[in-house]
Amino acid sequence: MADKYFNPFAAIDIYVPTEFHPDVVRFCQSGGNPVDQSPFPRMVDLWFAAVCVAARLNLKPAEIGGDVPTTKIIDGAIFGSDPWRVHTLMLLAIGKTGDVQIVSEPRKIMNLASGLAAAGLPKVIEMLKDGDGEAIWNLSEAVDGMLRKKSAA
Amino acid sequence: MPLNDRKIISIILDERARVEERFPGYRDELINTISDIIEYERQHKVQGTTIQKKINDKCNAMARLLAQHRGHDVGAEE
Amino acid sequence: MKLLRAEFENFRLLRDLRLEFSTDPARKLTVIRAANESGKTTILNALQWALYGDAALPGKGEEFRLHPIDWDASVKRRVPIVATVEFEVTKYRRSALGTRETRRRYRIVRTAFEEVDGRTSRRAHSEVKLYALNDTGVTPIEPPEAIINDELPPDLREVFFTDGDRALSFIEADVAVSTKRDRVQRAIRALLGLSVIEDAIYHVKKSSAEVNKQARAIGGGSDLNRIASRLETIDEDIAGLEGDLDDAKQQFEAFDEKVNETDRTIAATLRKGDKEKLQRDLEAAKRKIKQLDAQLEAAGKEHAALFRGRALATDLLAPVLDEAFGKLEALHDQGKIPSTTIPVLENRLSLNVCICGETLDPADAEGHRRRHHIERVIAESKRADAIQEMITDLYYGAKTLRPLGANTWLDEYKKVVASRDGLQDMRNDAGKEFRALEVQLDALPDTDIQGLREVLRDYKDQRDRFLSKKSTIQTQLGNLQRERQGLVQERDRLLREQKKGARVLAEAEVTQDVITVLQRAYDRITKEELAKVSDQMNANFLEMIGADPQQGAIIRRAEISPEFDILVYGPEERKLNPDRDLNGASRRALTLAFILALTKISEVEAPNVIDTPLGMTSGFVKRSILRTAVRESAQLVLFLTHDEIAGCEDIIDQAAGTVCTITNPAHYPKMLVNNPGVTERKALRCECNHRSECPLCQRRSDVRAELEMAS
Repeated sequence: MADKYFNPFAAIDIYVPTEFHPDVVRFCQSGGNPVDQSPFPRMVDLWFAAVCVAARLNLKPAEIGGDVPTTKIIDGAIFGSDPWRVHTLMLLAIGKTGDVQIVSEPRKIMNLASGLAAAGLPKVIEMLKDGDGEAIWNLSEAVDGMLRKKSAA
Repeated sequence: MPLNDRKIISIILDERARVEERFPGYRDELINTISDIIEYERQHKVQGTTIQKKINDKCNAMARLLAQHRGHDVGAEE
Repeated sequence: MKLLRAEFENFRLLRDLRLEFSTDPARKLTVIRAANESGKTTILNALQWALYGDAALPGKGEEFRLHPIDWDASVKRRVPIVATVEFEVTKYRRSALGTRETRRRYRIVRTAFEEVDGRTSRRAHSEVKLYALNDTGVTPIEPPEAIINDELPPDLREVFFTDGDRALSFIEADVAVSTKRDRVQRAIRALLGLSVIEDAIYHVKKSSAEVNKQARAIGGGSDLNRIASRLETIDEDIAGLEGDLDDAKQQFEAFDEKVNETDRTIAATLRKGDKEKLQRDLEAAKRKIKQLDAQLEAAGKEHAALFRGRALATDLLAPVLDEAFGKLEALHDQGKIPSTTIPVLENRLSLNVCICGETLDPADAEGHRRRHHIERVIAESKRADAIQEMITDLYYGAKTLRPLGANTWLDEYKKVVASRDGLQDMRNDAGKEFRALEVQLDALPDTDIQGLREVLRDYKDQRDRFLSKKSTIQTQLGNLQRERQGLVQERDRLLREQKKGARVLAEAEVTQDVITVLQRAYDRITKEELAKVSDQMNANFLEMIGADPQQGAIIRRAEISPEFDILVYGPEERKLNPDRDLNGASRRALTLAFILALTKISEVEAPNVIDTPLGMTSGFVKRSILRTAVRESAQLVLFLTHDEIAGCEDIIDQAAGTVCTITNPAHYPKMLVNNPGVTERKALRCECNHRSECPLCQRRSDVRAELEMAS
């Protein structure tokens, strides 16, 4: 069953707060930029990294939707190309909520992930911009530093 | 040219010893002839002379001397 | 020939000047002391003009003003210009009593008139008269050029009259080798009397030809006739071949020079860089850069891939994932997962063996019981809800996300950094290499090496062709000479037999003897005398510059090659370039050394008149040059500035028979202390020597003069 294709997020859209959308585009290669300036191959990769960074830094998931305007970047079918991300999001949700049963609620998982992404995006964008080098090197050094510190959780 | 008279004459004098002594005194006479020829050449350089005739005559005179010493009739020239 | 005195009237600055020259063999030096712009060069020109006419003037006299620049045309438009030189000639003649010496004195007077009209002037052709001076008076000599050309041939003007600043025509590097060689050859041939001997040989050979004709005319047998005819033909052929040989030699030398020059050009160009090779290297460098750029791009993508890979997520989320896995493990421990028990259990049923090893064989009672139990568990499990399935799937499927403890991302990042940095360094080096090649290529002269090589091949072919031709002609000449020798012997034998032939034979022998002596003298002069000139020049030169530690270190010797080239060698016989490797003083010294050596070895009695020979020299070298020049010349006339004299006063004390000073009154007040009281521009002479000064020639010190000029 582990090797069966299974993407519970296929029908769910992935959003980012509109205020971050220009930077998300800027730092992704899908915008046509060179790798050193736009280290993320796709917007979903940046979104996912923001989720991870937020979780790592134990940030509180941000509120999205409602008054906060959002922009869709892709739908969840994208995870088909990286199935491990499906598992990662589930594990993340279990870890954050303490509830194993949450695996049956993909929308809840996605909401949590999106909240974390919204919280993590400004941090990731800051990591990309902060430093003397190009974006990829700034980010690399920031991640390097982050990993060498003991986990915040 | 008389620039270096002494030099040329001294070299020619040196060559005297290598000339066959066709008769006693032949060498000395020959060297004199050559000195005169050199002198004619110098004169010819500064003013046109009948240099060829002069040299011919000089050689003739020397030859006559040689023939005489060999006991040949000087008058028998033709 | 020795200069006695000179007098100039209205020759530029020399309005009215008389000079005497020392003829004392113990004090051969005449010093004319004059500051710059006082008329030294004018005197040199005036002397030469007197002896040689307009051809000796700068630009051969065209547009060269002779009259004084401040001539007042309102008083007199027609300016008479007169130059008078008195000289003495020594002649040597062989007489019965030995070598006789006779001295004759002459006066040459050259006159010209210039019509001055405002700024322009017109000159009538100069006229020259020569007088022999004797006890009874003066006797005009016609033509005047005869004596002058005889004593001081125009070809040798530069040997005897030398402008120190221009005294380099024998060794200047920018003059073609053949021209320099010509000059040296002409000087040597003229001074050693080679052309006189050559002409004599030519004429005597003609006499010899005449003799042969006479032999034919004697008749007396067809043999003699035949031999004499053949000799005539051979002589003509030999003369023709000798001419061809000369041509071939000249052509060979010309092409040889071209080969060497082209070779040098190619070598110099290759040293700077072979254009074709550089272009190839540049293309290779470009390819390398392209390759590295591609590799760098790939490495960049590898770097970017770190931000979509699993390692980033697992490493960043390690704490959270840990918790999640903890929960899943708890479920697993509780037996609630895996729901993949079913396949396992089903598998066990098919194998009839339980996981614990007990039998599940339905034939066996216990086995059957266990089997039944497992079937019940399977049925219950199948009834488990989807959540369980998902959790189970997650438990097993997320194995690869289990944190391993190690930071995988950091390891991967380290590898990526090493790769990117390494490639970037290589790329930077490749870029530098490329730029350096571009610079090298740009710096190359637009020389087509390939083209030059083709030209070189062509020249070599031509040179070899003429070398071959030379050989062929020499062989032919050799054959003809041998044949001639045989025929002459035969002819003479026949003549001896003939009574009439006695005189003819005698003439033949005499002319042959004369030719032989002259030829040997010629060969000796070209070999031995030339070698003596070379050795003497070397000795003079090394003595002159030997005191210069800088030049003395790099110059080993100088020589005149058999091809009449003046060559200078450094250590290990390395040929030096006079322009590059010799300083100004050494170049000057070399030319003077050559002139003095030639004059000495040829035993020519002629003056050496030199304007500023010691310029650019100082200290020991200056003294060396002066001492050597005094010793080696027959009569030495030097125009020296005060600076040139400084430090050499003692040498001049001993060597100079005559010293005088020339002053330009226009140098007052800047350089002269006292007002000469003369308004005309003219060179003024006083009897002050190198150690004295008078109110006329007293000069301000250089420092004071400069200060005053500055203020």
